[in-house]
Order: sequence, then structure tokens, then C-alpha cells
Amino acid sequence: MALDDPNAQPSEPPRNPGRPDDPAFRDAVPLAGDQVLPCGRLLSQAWEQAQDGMPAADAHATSCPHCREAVEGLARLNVATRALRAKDPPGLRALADRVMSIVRAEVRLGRLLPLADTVLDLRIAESAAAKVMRQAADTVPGTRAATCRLAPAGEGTGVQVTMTLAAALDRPLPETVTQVRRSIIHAAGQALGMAVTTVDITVADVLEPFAPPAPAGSGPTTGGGA
Amino acid sequence: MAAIGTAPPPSVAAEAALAVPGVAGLQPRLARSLAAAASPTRPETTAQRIPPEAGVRTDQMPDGSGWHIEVRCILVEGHRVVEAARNVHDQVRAAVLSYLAAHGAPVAVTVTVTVTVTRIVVRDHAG
Amino acid sequence: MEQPGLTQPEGDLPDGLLAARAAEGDDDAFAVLVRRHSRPLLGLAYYMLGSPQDAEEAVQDAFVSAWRRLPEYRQAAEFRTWMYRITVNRCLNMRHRRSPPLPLDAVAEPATGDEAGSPARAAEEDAEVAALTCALREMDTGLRICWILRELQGLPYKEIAQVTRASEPTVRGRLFRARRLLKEAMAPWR
Repeated sequence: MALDDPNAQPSEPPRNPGRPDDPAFRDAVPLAGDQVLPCGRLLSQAWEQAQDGMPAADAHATSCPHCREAVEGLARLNVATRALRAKDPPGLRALADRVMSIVRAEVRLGRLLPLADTVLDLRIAESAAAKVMRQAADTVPGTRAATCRLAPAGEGTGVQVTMTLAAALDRPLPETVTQVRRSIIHAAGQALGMAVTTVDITVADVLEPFAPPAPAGSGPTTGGGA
Repeated sequence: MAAIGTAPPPSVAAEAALAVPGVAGLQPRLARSLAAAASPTRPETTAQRIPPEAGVRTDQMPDGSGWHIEVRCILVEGHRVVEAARNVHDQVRAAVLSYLAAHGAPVAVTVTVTVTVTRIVVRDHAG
Repeated sequence: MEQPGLTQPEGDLPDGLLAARAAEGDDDAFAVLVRRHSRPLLGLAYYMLGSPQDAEEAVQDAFVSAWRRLPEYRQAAEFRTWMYRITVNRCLNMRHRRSPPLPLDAVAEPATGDEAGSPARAAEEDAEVAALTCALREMDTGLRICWILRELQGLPYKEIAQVTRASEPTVRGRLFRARRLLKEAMAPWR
């Protein structure tokens, strides 16, 4: 990949002899083109502390005038960076619609499964039926469906369902699984008209409370560097 | 093998299927839809550029006694799928039979209905 | 931006679950992923390629490619990391394909303080952004990717290393050099 560039790694970075007693300094290795500040710390180190919050800013970083000056050198860049981050890239609005129009044209049907009509030839795509089954599972508190596969069961119009779930651990799992199974069979009968014979459920993951990503424009600068 | 005349045009089946409540559109076969989606036109026009007949397939029955028609349809949520499919089956079969009768070629017709997608109406108003 | 959550019952699901659903052909789940990740990916592509049309094409291709490859995607990496990687590769390929350097979009001249009337703050900010954008374009691709991922998109070092297939120390080194170069490039405007 073109990312590899030969200058990326500093060749044998010289350990700086100054200030070996400074614990924050002791582990720091100069990066290529780095600079030792008059206080003995590295420029890269002062910047990482300020920009990436790593490691947690220590007393030296907050009080040292040299470190402060080094960090202030980035102020102008930071102002421009914040402004850039707040801008929506051009073409954003149309992008998702165009992508989904292509994706929907490339629908992946999966198997074709029988609907519960013993006389007529009526079928539903696995992906469409699975969507309904997942919605049914999602209505049970503390659960979200992950995978859902369907297969014909035997000769008639029966269908078997295999689902994996993420479930919260604040209630007994067997109870949750029973509720999900009931909800799936109900949805299959009511919303689809499909004769589900068996529902195999595996709890594959723990459902953690989920916070959607931060809104547009609220980027980094503090914390979370490493 | 008895001659069964020309095939019923797919538009007859397509129109009958689209008139059924709950049917949002017909699902074109892959090659058709890919060609349309890859064209540089805006997505709004894509759905209109693929004729609904692309979701209908007509084959002669193996024994030559008539026609087998497969309709692939997209349903909106809120309709029981098996009932909508049954409805599509009955309407398509009736429309094709009456077309054939009017054109002097009354032969057997079987219909398979495949529901490919169920859509949530509020999110996807393209159909 | 899209209004999140309102018409999307899946809007609160984590990426991993949505990716598992999308892998089985659930286009609605994939739509949530597309809306969730469009902005940062398009930003990355735009600042890498310099042209809105190329950026849109790169991200569109990346998403469509992800949709096709999802059935084989075994979640070895986070969806976001995987998506970033596909997009970065796409952008690099597009850069190779276009040999002449991209024409710069019109870059606003910096507002000068000694002209009649005080310069509007917005104009000054535009000038700063233009200067930064310009400096970014002239920077080496490897450095630029690291800087965009860290400073515009807030990715942790570890994830940047995964996206760019480099070690974390390499990422730190690139980021340091990028900051130094950009800081210097911004200095003449002062």
C-alpha cells in the first residue's frame, strides 16, 4: 500500500541525556524531526499531551512556560482545524440516497421460502422474512436480533428459524429467549402468514447501552488519544 | 406439442399485480436493475426507468399446455404478506386468462408469486 | 444531515448488529450504516482527493463494495475501521489513476487587516480554512491521511494504525510531522 513511507520510523532515535528524573520524560522517544524544548521535554510530547490528552497532562505540562509556548504554537492551526471540522463536505446530502439506490437494486434475496398456503405457489425471500422476524425480536425489551436464517422444514410449507441475539443481562436469559420465540412465531403467523415449525435462538452477545455517534461537527481535540 | 400461440405480454400481469393493495412495485431481475442503477442519472429517476414488466417472467410450461408466470413483488408493510400474495396470484391469473381468451388462445396458466421485499412506507416512498 | 432515529427503528443499534443484518441482505440496516458513516468518510475522501465529484465517487464505490463484501466480512475489524480502510484504498487508487496534480479549487486570499474597514470574522475564518486546505493538499498522502483521521475525525491512534496498516509509533511520527508542517504552512498568514 502506498502509505508505507521509508521515513516513517526514526532511525535509532538518540535517547536524550537531560532530565532522567522526570517520569513523564523517561519513556519518551523522540520522533523523526523532533525537538527538545529548553525544559528537557520533547516537542512531540508536549503536543500529544495537549492535543490528544495522552498521557494525562501532568503538573509540569500545565506549569512549564516552554511547554505552554510550544502548545500555543498550534493555536492558529487548531482554530482552522475546528472550522474545517464543522464544514459538511460537499455532496453529503445526495450521497446516501445514491448509495442506497444502487444497494436496493442489488438486493440479496437469500433462499425462497414457502408462505403458508398449501394450494398456491406463494413464496417470500429469506431476507424479507428475516427482516420481519428481527423486528419481532427487537420488540422484546432488552434484546436485539443479529443474524436470522430461515430454511424449509420438511415437505410442507413449514419453515425453521435460526437466530442469534444480543441480550441485556438485567433479566434471566431463558425468559428472554422464550419471549423472543413467542414474538417470532406470532409475527410469522400474523404479519407474514408463514408456518414456523422451530425457532433456534442463541444469545451470542451482551447488549450494551448504545449511544449513537456524536453529532456532526463535534470532533476531537481533547482526550481519547490512545 | 400443441401450438399455444404467442406469450401473453408481461405488462398484462404487471398491471394486474400493481393494482393489488399493498404492492409497492415489482422487483426487476438483477441485470436490469444494475444497469439502471449504474447509469449516471439521479436516483429519483431510476425507479421510473425500469418498466414494471421487468418483474414478470413468462415461461412456456414444460408439457406445452400453457404458460407459467412468475411475479416478483415488493410489498409495503401493514398488509399480511400471504394474503397480498394470494391476491396478486388471483388477479394476475385472471388478467392473463382473460387476455388469452380475448386473443383466441385459451390455454392453462399457472402463477408463482414471490415476495422479495417488505418496505416500511414512511422511509421509502420510491415505490 | 439526515434526521436520526425518527423514521429508523434501527437507528439506535450498534454497528456490529447492523453489519450482521446487512450481511444477510437487510438493506434497511445498511441504510442506517450509510447515514451514520457518510459524513466522516466523505470528509476524508474530499480532503484526500480535493474534488467533490471524485470524493463522492470514492465513497459511493466504497459503500457499494462494502455491501457486496459484507457476506464475507467476519467482523474481524470494527465496521467503521473496515469502512475507512476500503475508502482509503479507493482514494489511493483514484489518485494513482489521475496522473496530473488536481487543480486547486479557488482558494480565497487571506483577508488583510489594514484594508478599509475591519475584516469580517467570517472572511478571516474562510481564509484560515483555505490556507489549511491548501497546505493539506500539498502534504504527503501518508501524513495527510493520519492527520485527517486524527484531527478531523477523532480516531484513536490504534484505529488509525489499523486503517493505514501501519504501527502505532509510525502513526504518531506521521501525525507529529503533519502537525509541524501544517503549523509552519499556516505561519505566513499571521
